[in-house]
Amino acid sequence: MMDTASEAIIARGGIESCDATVVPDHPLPKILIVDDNSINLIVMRKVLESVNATLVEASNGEDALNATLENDFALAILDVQMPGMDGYELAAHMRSNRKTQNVPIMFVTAAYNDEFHMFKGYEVGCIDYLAKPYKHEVLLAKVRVFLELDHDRRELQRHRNRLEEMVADRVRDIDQLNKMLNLIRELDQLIVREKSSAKLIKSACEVLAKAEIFRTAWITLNSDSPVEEGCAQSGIEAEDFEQILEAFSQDRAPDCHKLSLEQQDVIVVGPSCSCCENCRLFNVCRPGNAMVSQLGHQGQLYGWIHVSMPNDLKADKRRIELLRQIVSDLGFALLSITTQRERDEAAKNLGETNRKLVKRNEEIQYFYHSLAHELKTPLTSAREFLSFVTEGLVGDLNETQAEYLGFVQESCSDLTIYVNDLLDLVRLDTGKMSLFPEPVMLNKLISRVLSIVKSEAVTRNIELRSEFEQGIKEVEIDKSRITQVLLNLLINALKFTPEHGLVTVKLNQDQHRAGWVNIEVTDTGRGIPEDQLDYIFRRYFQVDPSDHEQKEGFGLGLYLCKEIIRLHGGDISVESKPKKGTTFRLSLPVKQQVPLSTKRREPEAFVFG
Amino acid sequence: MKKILIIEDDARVAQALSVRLKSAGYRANTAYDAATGLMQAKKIQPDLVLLDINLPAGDGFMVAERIMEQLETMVPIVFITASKSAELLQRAKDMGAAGYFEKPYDAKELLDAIEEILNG
Repeated sequence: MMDTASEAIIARGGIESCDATVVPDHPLPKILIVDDNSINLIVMRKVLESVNATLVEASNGEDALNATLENDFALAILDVQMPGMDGYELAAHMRSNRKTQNVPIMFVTAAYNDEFHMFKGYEVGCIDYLAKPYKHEVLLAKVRVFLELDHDRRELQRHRNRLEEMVADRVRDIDQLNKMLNLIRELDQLIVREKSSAKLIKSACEVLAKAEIFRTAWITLNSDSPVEEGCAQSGIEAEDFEQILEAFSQDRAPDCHKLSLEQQDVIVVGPSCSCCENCRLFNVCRPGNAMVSQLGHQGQLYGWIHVSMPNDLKADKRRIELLRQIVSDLGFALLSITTQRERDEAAKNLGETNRKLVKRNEEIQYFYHSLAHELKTPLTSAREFLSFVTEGLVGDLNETQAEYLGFVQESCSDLTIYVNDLLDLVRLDTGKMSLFPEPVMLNKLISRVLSIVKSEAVTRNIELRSEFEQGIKEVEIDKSRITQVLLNLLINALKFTPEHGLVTVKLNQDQHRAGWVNIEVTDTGRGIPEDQLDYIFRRYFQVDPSDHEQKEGFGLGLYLCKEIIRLHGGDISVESKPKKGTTFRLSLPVKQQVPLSTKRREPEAFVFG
Repeated sequence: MKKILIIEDDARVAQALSVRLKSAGYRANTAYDAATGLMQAKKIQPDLVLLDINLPAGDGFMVAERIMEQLETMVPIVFITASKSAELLQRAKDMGAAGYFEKPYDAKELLDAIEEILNG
């Protein structure tokens, strides 16, 4: 029978038209039954009553095909022999359509149940065959199997979908994490590279806003902070940012800024928070979801940072943690830059000060040199005229006059020594004291020095003794400089030795060092306090005078002795026992390290060209 | 009596030298600047010149050269200076000076040297 006009209708599982697009959450499986004979359809409906499925019926091939396009069937049970589009044709259409190609097809037929037709059926994609008349139980059993298969297939598909979703989620997640990691890495590179805070915050904003993690980023550094004042942004329209800055300059900073100043952590803001809702800058800021935080390091506030999220994304935990990291990194970097800048400035100032000091020092040295030089000429005439008087060239002196003029002469001698010491000091400080060593018999030199101080010793009633080891050969020294040292030591020794005391000069080979000689000057004076022994060779040091004495000179004598001996490559030491006496020991290498020929002669008196 | 010309810009030092030399039996003339010194040298034909290196208007070396040019016989020149410098000493030696003394000089050494130069 033909029943061409009948529409596909839905039985069971709800009264819906088959073109309905609303799909329930867990829809019942659908079975398409197609037969041009309405009795057959009714019978089949009856048979399948107990099956938990929605039946969609069609009475011709065209309707059935339409139904397959609109529904997702678990099974299609087709009559083969139909007017118009027959079962084979319908099956072929279904197989050729992506949507329906996997729907299992079962043919039910009375006429074509021979092998030829069955094979034809299988060829067009049918997977089962049921010959009419069929046993209801057989149909039922087959349908159940197909439904189970369909159920399993759908479950599988659902799992697969869920799995794919999970994978996609993870991929998105990893992508985001990578972007964050890259952001931090780029920021770290900036921190290493940038030497100025202005450049650092500018580059930092650019890195932040281009990472797709944040849409906009802006940073301001306060004028009253230890770091350089400044601001930077990325992702904000230039004119909008100008408005923001203007607000800041007029002390109308947004509430989120004020909030962040009170709190050391990251604060999340957004269109839904009251702070943004009432913000004067809402239209220019257009924050979306945003985060703000103060910038600083170790309790010091440098400024603040504002970042907004792209595409209505929320400030999730990860972004909050990220911003914390950024804030921490930037704080540290800003401190480093500031410290470095301060260090550079300090170094610069130090260099400046140092140059000034060096110049000043040179001026002072030049002054001392000129002073000492200028003192020499009046000293020369003073000494000479004094000698004329004391030598009786201009008449006899009475005893008192002679005594007093003797004092003046002593003062002149002291002055001469001081002037020479002063010149030597300037020479040492300017590196211009040079030695002119020549081979010298030390015993002869010592004897000559002793002869100079002899009259002083006689006057003071002090015995002068010398003990020379035999066989000491020539020693390479600067004659005038070593004479100066020995004179200094002997004059000191005599000064601190009481009447009837003894001053001894010994010359020995060094017992421990071959090629070295020692000269010892020993007195029986009051000795040097132990706590002062370490300091006596220091510049300007003077042993504390005992009662009724006063300090004399500059305290340069022993310092110059030490430096002169040092220039010779030797050393000087002192031993002293209170009330017993003091011994100064000079140790000198017999040969100088520097060849004599390379040393220039220092001027001294010479005669005979 | 040997004639010694003193050219020294510090009047007191010049006078001191003069007294010292006269007491040792020399005839001493003094000049306080280069020009006067040169004039005197020409006039008195000294046996020895005591010459300061730092002179106003012309240093001692220049004066020494001019004196050597002017005088027919070779006159020994002894420099006296307050400067202590290797360079000056070398220049003095190079130009054939007979002596070089630093201020403040030792009177005995100076007289011994002059004695040696003139009579040695």
